[in-house]
Amino acid sequence: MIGIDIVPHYAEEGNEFAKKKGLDHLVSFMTGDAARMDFPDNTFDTIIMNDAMEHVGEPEKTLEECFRVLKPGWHLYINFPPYYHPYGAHLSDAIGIPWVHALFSEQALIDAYKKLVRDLPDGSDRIAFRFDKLPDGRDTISYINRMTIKRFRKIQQGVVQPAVYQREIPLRNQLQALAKLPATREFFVKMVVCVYQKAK
Amino acid sequence: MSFFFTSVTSFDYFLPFHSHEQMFCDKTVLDIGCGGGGKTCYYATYGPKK
Repeated sequence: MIGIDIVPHYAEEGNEFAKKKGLDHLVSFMTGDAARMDFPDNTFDTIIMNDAMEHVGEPEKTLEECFRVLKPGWHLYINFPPYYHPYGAHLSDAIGIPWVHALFSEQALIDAYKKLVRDLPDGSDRIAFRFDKLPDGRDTISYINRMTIKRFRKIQQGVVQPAVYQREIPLRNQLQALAKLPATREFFVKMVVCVYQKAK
Repeated sequence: MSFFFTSVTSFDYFLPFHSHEQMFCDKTVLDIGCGGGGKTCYYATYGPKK
């Protein structure tokens, strides 16, 4: 079993954690870009992207790579909170206002977040982890790719492998109707769930 | 589960389709976007292949 992440320090942390839990004989961690993996074709029985699809820089290419390294007949499990989930901006460690990213500009969110965390011991790490500079010098939230349900469904249209299980989980059972209405769906679905099975 | 992390496991959303054993037991598994490894190590308790 292999865990892969593009953030370099996670591999060391993961391997230390596995050793501490006595699981290092089963699992190892590495640094890598899921859109460009070094594994041979048809390597894995199970690939899981649990809360990862909203973070990858190249979602289409990542899916292509998953299907390349997945063995025929086996499964790719994807789940992610869509961008307009109440905390879909992934800034809720400092900004606990639901749907704040639907109300304010990206720059306003970045400025507020920086102000709120700058005096924390790990404030600079939190900022560096989430934000980056665009070529024109503006700040951007680089930690996420703003994966909406609509965008994911569009990406799926380009996937030739069959999706064998799909669900959109509402924020609350009482909100199921809002999670199905086209006008409010993006805001009231807390998790998009999808399982692909690579064709044999 | 709290042995690894305290949040509700979002991969439980797959349970209506496959059990954890079907997903991980004796499988060659790749966890993409594994972070610090908490969830991955939890998956590893289901006995994947090395």
